[in-house]
Formats: sequence, structure tokens, C-alpha cells
Amino acid sequence: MSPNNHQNNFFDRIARAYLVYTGGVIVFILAMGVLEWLGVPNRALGYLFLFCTIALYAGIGLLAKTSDVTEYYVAGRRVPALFNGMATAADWMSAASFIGLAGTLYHAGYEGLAYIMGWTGGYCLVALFLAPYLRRFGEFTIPDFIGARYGGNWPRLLAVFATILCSLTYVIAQIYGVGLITSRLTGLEFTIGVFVGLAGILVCSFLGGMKAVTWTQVAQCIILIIAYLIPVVWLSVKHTGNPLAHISAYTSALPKVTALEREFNDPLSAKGVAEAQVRKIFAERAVGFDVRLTALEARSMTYLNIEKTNLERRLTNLRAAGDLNFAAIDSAERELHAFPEDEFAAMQLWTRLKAENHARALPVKMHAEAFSGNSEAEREVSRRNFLALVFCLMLGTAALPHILMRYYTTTSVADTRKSVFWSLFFILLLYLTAPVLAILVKFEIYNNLVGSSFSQLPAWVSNWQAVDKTLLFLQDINLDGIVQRAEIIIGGDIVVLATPEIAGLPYVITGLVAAGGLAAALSTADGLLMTIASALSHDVYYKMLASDAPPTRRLVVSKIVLLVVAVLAAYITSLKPGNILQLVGSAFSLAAAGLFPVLVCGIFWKRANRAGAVLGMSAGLAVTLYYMVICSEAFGINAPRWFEIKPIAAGVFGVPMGFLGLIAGSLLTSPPESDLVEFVDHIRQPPSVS
Amino acid sequence: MTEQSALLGRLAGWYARMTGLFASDAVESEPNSLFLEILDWMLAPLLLLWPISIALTNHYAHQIADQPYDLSLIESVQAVSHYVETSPWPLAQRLPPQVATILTGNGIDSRFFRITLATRNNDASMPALSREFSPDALIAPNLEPPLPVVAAPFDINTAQISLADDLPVLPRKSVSLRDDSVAGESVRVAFRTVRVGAAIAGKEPGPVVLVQVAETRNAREELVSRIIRGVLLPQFGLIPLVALLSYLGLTRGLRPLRRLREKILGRRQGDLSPLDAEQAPEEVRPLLSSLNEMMGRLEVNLEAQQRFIADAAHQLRTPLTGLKMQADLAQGEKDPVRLQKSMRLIAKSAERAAHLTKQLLTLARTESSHDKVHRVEPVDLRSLSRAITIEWAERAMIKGIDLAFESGDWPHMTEGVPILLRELLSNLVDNAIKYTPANGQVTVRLRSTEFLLLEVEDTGPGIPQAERVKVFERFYRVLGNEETGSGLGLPIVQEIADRHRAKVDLLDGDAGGCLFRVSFLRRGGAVAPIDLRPD
Repeated sequence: MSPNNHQNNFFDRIARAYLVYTGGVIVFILAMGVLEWLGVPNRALGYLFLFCTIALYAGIGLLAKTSDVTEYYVAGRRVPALFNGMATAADWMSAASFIGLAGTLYHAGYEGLAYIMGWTGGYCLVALFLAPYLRRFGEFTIPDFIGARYGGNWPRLLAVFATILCSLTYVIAQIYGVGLITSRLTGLEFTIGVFVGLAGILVCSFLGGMKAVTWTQVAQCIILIIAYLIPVVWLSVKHTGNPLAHISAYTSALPKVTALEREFNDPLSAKGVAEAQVRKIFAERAVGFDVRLTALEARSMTYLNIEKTNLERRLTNLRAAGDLNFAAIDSAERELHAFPEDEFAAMQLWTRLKAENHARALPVKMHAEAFSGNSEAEREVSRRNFLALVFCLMLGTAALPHILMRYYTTTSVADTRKSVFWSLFFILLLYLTAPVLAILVKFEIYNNLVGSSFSQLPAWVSNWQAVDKTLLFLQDINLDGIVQRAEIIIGGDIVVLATPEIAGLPYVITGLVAAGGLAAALSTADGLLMTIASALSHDVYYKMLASDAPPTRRLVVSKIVLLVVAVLAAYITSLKPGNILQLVGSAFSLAAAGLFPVLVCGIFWKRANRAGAVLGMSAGLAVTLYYMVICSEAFGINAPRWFEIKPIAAGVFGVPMGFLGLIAGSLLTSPPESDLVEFVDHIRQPPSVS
Repeated sequence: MTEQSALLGRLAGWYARMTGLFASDAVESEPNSLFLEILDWMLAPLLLLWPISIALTNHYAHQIADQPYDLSLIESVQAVSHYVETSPWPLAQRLPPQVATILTGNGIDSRFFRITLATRNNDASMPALSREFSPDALIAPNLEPPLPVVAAPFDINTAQISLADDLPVLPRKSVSLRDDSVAGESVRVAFRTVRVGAAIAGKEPGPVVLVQVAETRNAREELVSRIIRGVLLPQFGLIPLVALLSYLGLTRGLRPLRRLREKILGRRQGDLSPLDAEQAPEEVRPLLSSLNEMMGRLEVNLEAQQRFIADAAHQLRTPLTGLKMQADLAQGEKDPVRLQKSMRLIAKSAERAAHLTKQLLTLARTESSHDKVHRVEPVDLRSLSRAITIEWAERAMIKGIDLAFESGDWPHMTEGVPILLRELLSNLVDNAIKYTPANGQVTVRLRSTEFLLLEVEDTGPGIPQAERVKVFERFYRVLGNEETGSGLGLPIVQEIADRHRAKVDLLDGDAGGCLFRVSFLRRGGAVAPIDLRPD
């Protein structure tokens, strides 16, 4: 039999297996629905969904276990294009895409589309400029390519650094997602959810490396697409009677949402009055914190002490009253408990509270409006940021190591291109649906939750409040007993997860969506852990430290590194580092600035040499990191922004610096050695058809 | 036990089939590193057990964390109960400050309380307790003892804490605990029932009321997560450490294997002496002894091979020497008649040499036969034997021998390699014709009993009993025989029969000649299909 025949047989066998699997998933969902109908408690269904899916992934991991180096690092390079596309799609669609994207669109409206455009655009760059050449190169990792193209250890080491920097922040966000879903599904505490989910992540990548991760990702891709589409279609049928959600959302739901938003912003309408009232309270609170901040600046610790004494006196008075006001005592106690210890803490806390209250005092942002702002100048800044973000996301996507690494696993260069097409196809299924979901959920919340009574809040509100109050918090600010839009805090991370409950769908759909989110987070986390472990074990250990290590030891080192990285990432996640989560968006800027110029020039510009690569990578990374640190609120420096660009799009400055550094460094030093030029010729030459 | 092992075997088979799903056709699916295989199977269960350990830790951490906070909650319920017991009915709608103050929050957790009539709120005969409560309706038929009629609506609370399902209606000294939620927040509730004014002497006691105090779980959760972190973080550190230690341990444990490998690699070429199995680890010992056995067989085979080559060379030399002698003679010969005779002798010697070579080749081919060269297929012995008998008919006629074929009218099916079977029968018939004097009789007979019996009987001199085993040895010839045999015919027959798991017997013929009987397995019979590979 020819190898081609082998490959066809392999494809048929796998395709049959996954068809059976898809049928199994649907049967499982139906069975869960029947169990719910029979009255099995929700908590039990939650556990079933969680453990069945994790056991499934672990099972595939066990079946695909391997101890062969090529299989461990690149799945034996024989994944058919379709399945590699599915695996890449699952690898790519992270917690951010599945859980976060619709939430971002919910909050940012039109401007959230920057993510969809940037991310899909990035795949076009991958298909055209990178993936086929990397496959032609045919080694194991991205630092491998840079090391081979530029020679010497420095470019490789810098590439390893950039890879780990992007991937580690990214993987923390995934583990956060896993913890969130696990704790919602099971009622366990967040930290414990993280640890339980981690075991699921590890079984796959630990046993079978890329091979196991690939085949698990295909399974996860199927689950997450089913889980995303079902609630949207259901919601659409429920509201508009039209199962084509992608049409009905824009023709029917969006105009209604816009009308409601106008009403909220109009102080003359019935709903607008109450909204204005709530907003006024927030504005007053913001002013109150502003006053405190001014006083703190003027009198520092003295002011703090006086404030604290006042509070304590108020509490004493409350307690001494003949008729105790329990609510007042409770809130005073809480305030005292949370009272900042020193000046710095007070400054941070009050600045944050002022910003929060100020933000909540603003009128509703119109969902469909492009580049909103009060003045032409503001709109201009908004537009500029939109374009900068699209730019960074596009180049960043094209240079993310865990995505590029996936294209080493196809059978041939031609398959690589086909595989990018399939990735984009499956990703688009989700990405075209996310804006629809955001509109439908917004309609549901504006229409049903707003205006309902605080004494009759639906159960999902308390369920989610129990998980984390920053994710969902409803408070009767103007004490009228009615929910106003401005009284709702809804975190972007729960919009998708809570959709079935918000819409009143059966619990089985909630479980399904959670399982989909889990699949998304697990698949990406696996891919990222593999990327980090490969960078450390293959590039640093094998290529730099111990080039004579036998395959067995290389794999053992890789597995131990994998465990250490996973444990470290889970530990950081369990501390709930808000700052790092905000930095995840910046992983794209870092990848764009650090890796994109060296990768592209490495393929298309023969004159690029080692000095240029080192200079380009370090300049790009340095500028990006510098801008992020001085401008991000997380670091508290808050320097003035360049051209009003938000720190998340720092790559706008980093990428040109990267290219400049690379070009300058290359031209100022001698051209690269002849074998490196031959290397470029080799990867650019199409493989001979034999 | 056997059922268990059968189940395990099925499981293992299932696992192997499923792993095959992702394995390439071209790549061997056997694990290529024992070391990694062991490491994986050691660590994978650890990863599965880990969540279980977390769940257990979580469970016990909650129990531990609840204890101290429950105590303080119980104390506050007792304090409120004490107030209720010492107050006259009806109770005031507000608690006095010294009691109320222990029911306020502490900044971390909020507290709620509720004092209501101890009655089942799900009893259909009674309206739910509320501020619009009408005293007339309060006749409780099923409760024991019957609750007294309440004079005034009564419910003191900070929060709507729901009533417990299994509400005790009698006054109780002990405090019960349960988990519940208040306004969307999960809380721990402590509650007991107490009779109003029970402790006031000389006064009619009031009705039984339910005292409930609830507390949010923030402090408890904080304690739980501190306990879990304290347990889990060391576990986290331990897992990579376990991996590292397992690696080191395995390296150490597999060292005897490496030593063995070095010992085998370091052997002289052609050294087939057995390895010392006694000093090897127990697990490797079976492998070593089978290796030794194999090497022993190899050695015997090698010796036989060498002997055969020597014999063959010797046998070939005889006709060739004769050939050279005749050729030398012929060179100096002038007489055409003698030259003619020399030429005949040369031709005869050459024929003998050719025959010997052909037999040697056949034997070699039979020995080396394996599935790819000789495909096993169903064979009808009847048509095959008849064809061969016809082929030999001419030779027999020349020598004046009556060659007969006896068989039933139906096909006699067995499984085998047709070429080899023809060779077998040809050799037998050839021998029979060769050693049977003129006017003799040779019969090829096919019979079917439990086996298929292929017999060749002649009327020749026969073979003495003592030599019947030796004739199957290579290059053995019965003494006092002037026929020019190669001494390989019967060994070939034996070899082919062995390959077909058939048995060759040498018996006495009816007319005093030889009777060779080859017993074949019947096709599709109760016996296993024939396997051409030597067992």
C-alpha cells in the first residue's frame, strides 16, 4: 500500500470515529435532558456534565498516549487537514473566545468587533505568510525556527522568552476560566475548581503530548460548537420565532435593544426617570470619593485617622440606640472592616471606587453605535484605538506560538494551507454567532430583568452572586424595589455562561454551555502548556544544554517541565490576580512586537541576520512592555498616553520598533552566512512533487 | 479468578483496539520505551486520584471550619431563647438591645434572625405565617400538643429565613443547624424551639416559638480555603517532585537491563553459549531462558547445516570425479565404439550430478519454505495423485512395471502447497519404480479414514526393519543396491510431510515390498488447520 493509501485509510477511520462520537454527544445531551425531566437535581447534572466531559478527554488522552518524540511534539506530522483545522480552532477558541467574546461585545457594542476582525484577519496572515513556510521547515517549535533561521543561541533564547511571556499570561486566563466553570457547575470554591480542572488538563498533555492534545482538541471543537450554537438558536426562536439567529438578531432584536437604550437615556420617559435617579446617586458617590481623595492628598494620614474615628463613633452610636437598626450596623461594620489601613491603600481603593461609580453614572452606551463619544475628538480617539487594536490583534494572532505550532502537525505543506482554511471555518461558526448572542442576551436583560422586582429576583442571580460578586451584582441603589439597568453589574465573563439561565432555558442547556466553555478553556490550556513545555524542554534543554540527550530523557524532561509549569500557572491563578487577567489582551501585542517581525523577515528577507533579529525582538518587546507598564492602570503609574492609544494596543508602537530594530541591526552588520541563505531558499521552494 | 482474568484480557484487548484508532498504519503501535511506559502508568493514576483527594479535603475542611463558627452561632440562639423563656407572652415586636447586639454583623459576616410561631408553614389547614395573619384560623388539628390560640400576629425578624421542613413543635433544649440561603446569599442557620415564658414561675406559659439565627459564610469560606490551600499547595509541589523521583528511581531500577544489554553487546561474534539467567532479575529470567533456548536450537541447526554441506560436497564429488575420469579416458580414446561407451558413461554421471543438484535444491527450497513463497491452499489429493501417476506411467512401462492408481470417486481435500505435494509423491513413485525389478507392480493408493492416507506400495525387495528409520536420513542408502539414488528422496518426503503436519510410515507391503503411507489431516475436520511454519 502506498503512503497515500495509508493516509486515506487513517482519515476514514478517524472520520468514522468522530462521527460516532458526535452522535454520542447528542445522545448524551438528550439523556441529560431526560434526567432533568425526571427530576434529577441540577447539582447532580452539573457534576455529571463536568466529570463525563473531563473523563472523556482524559480517556482520549490515555488512548493517544505516546512515547515517541515526533508524536509527542508534533503528533507524528500526520494529522489530516480537516482535523488539524478543528484542533487548531479548539486550540484557538479559548476561554476568551467562548466565554469572553460575547461579553466583550455585550459591553463594548460595535467596538468589540475589533476582536472579531483582528482575530480572523490574523488567520489570513497565518495562511499567507507563515504556516506553509513553517511546515516546510518541519521542526518542532517556533523558537526552533528562529534559532535555525538566524543561527546562534541568542535569537532562540529571546524567542523562548517571548513565547513563554505570551503563553503564560494566556494560560493563566484559561485556568481561570476552568476554575470559574467548575465552581459554577459544582458549587465548589473557585480555588478548588482550578485544581480539579487542572488534573483534566494534565492527563491529556502529560500522557500523549501533542498527539493526545490534538485528538482531544478535535473532540472539544465538536462539543464547543454544539454548545455555542444551541442556546443561540433556542433564544432566537424564543424571541423572534426564527431559528436563523444570525438574521433575526439584527432585524428584530437589535432595533428593540436600541429603542430600550434610548428610553433609558431619556430622563423624560418612565424608565428613564428611575435610571437618571440611580445614575445621579452614583455620580454623587463618585463626587464623594473625589472629595475624600482631595482631602487625603491635603492632610494624608491625619484625614484617614479622623475618618476612621468618625466611622467608629457612628457605629458606637448605632449600637447604643435603643432600637437597633440592623442593616445600618451591618453596613457600617463592613465599611469599618474594609477601611484602608494606610494612605497608599486608601488612595488605591478610593480611586478605584471613584472610577467605578463614575462609570456607572454614565448614560447607556448605544450598542449599535460606531465609535461613540461626546465630541468629534473623542470619536476620533475611539476610531484610532479601534484600528490600533485590530492591527495588534491581527499581527499578534499571526505570531502566537501555540497556534503556529499546530501547523507543524499536518502531513504536507499543501495540507497546512487547507488546514488554515478549516480552522478559520470552524472559528467563524463561533465568531459570527458571538455578536448575535450579545444582542439577544442584552435584549433579554433589558426586557425582562430591568423593571422586575428585587424581592422576586430569578434564581440565577443568587447562584452567580454566590460564585463571585464581581461577576454579577444587583443592588437596589435608589431603594425603589425595582431593578434599574444602572443597578446591574454583569461581568463579561458570565454573559455566555449565564445565557441559558437568563433566558429561562432548561438546566441541561446551562450544563452544555458550561461543558462547552470548559472544552474551550481546557483545549487552549493544553495547547499552551505544550508550547511552554516544548520551548523549555526542546529549545532550552535539548538544543542548548544537552544536545546528546536520548529521546527518553528529552520526553521525561518535557513532562516534568509541563507539570511544573501547570502547577505554577494554577497557583498564580488561584491567587486571582486581576492584573494578570487584564494583561491577557496584551499577550497579542507582545507576540506581535516580539515575534511577528522576526518570523516574517526570516522568511521573506534574506538579508536579515542574527544581530538584526536580536535587536528587533528586544526592541519590540521592550517598547511594548514599557508602554504597557507606564500606561496600564494596573501598575499605577498612569503616564500620559501616546496618541491616546490604550495600553492593550501597545503593539502599535512595538511592531514598527521591532521591524526598525531588525532592519537597522541587519544592515549595520555583515550579511548572514551562506547556509542561512540556503535555509531561506529551502523553505521558500515548494516541495518537489514526487 | 479465571473470569476476572478473562475480563481483564478483554479490557486490555479493547484498549489496544482503541489505541489503534490514533496509531498510524505504518508505525508500530507497541510502546517503544518501557521506561516512559512505566513512568506514564505510574503518574497518570496520580492525576486521576488528585481531584478525589481535593474533593475529600474540601469535604473535611468544611466540617472543620464549621465547628468554631457553629459554636458561636449556637450560643447566640441560646441567648435569644433565654430571653424568650424569661419574657411574658405576648413578646414585644423589638428585641431589647442587650440581646439584639449579639445578633449584629461583625463586618465580615452579616447575621439575621427570626422568631416565629413554631408551626408548620406548609400545613394546608393553616395560612402561612404573615403580618396579615388572622388568629381565628389558627386551629392546628394534627399537631401535638395542640398549639394554643395566639392572641396577636407575631413575627420578629431581620430577614425572611425560611422554616425548616422537620420543624420540632415541642420545646427543645438543643440547637439544630442547617444550610440555607437568605436574599440570594448562602447562610448557616442555627435554630431551636422554645416556649415563651416557660421560665417564669407561677404564670401561664405562652406558645412555642421558633428561634432562628443565620450567618453568612464569608469567614467560614475564608477558613476553608486557608485549610485547603495549606493542604493542596504542598501537594502541588509534590507532584513534579514525584515525577522527578520516579524518573530517578526508574533509572536505577532498570539498570540491570542496561548491564545485560552491555553484556550481550560485548560478546564475541558467533558466541552462542547460554547467558547466565540466574543472576538476572526475575522479570527478565523467562526472556533470558527463552533466548538461551533459541540460541541452543540455533547452534544445533548450525551444526546440522555444516554437516549437510560437508555431506553434500562429498556426494557431489563422486559423480564429478567419475565424470572427470571418463572425460580423461575419452580424450585418449580412438576407438569409436569405446568412445561411444565413455560418452554414455559421461552422460550418466552428468545425469546423476544433475539429479543430485536438483534434489539438493528441492530440499533447500522445502526447508526455507514460508508463507510468502508457498501459499497454503485447499488441494484435492485425488486429482494430484492421478496426474502424477500418469506422468510416471511411461517410465514404469519402459521398465516393465505395472503402475496402478486406486482411489474413491470423490475429491480428497486437504490443505497444503501443491508444488511440494507433487514433489513428495513424485519422490515416492520414483523410488518405488527404481527399486522394483521388472514385471513388478507399483500401486499408488488413496484412502480416507480419519486421515487421508496416500500410499505407495511396490513389489520390490523391501527394506529391512533395522534400516527403516535410517532411510529417512540424508545421503543414506541401503547397502547392496546398485541403483543410482541421491540419498535425498526420502528426506525430502519427510521434510514436506513435516511441513504439512503429515506423518510418513514405512510398512511391509502385501507382496513383501515396501508400503509408504503418508497420513494427511482432512480439510475442515476436527483438527486444526495446517500450519506450514515449523512449530
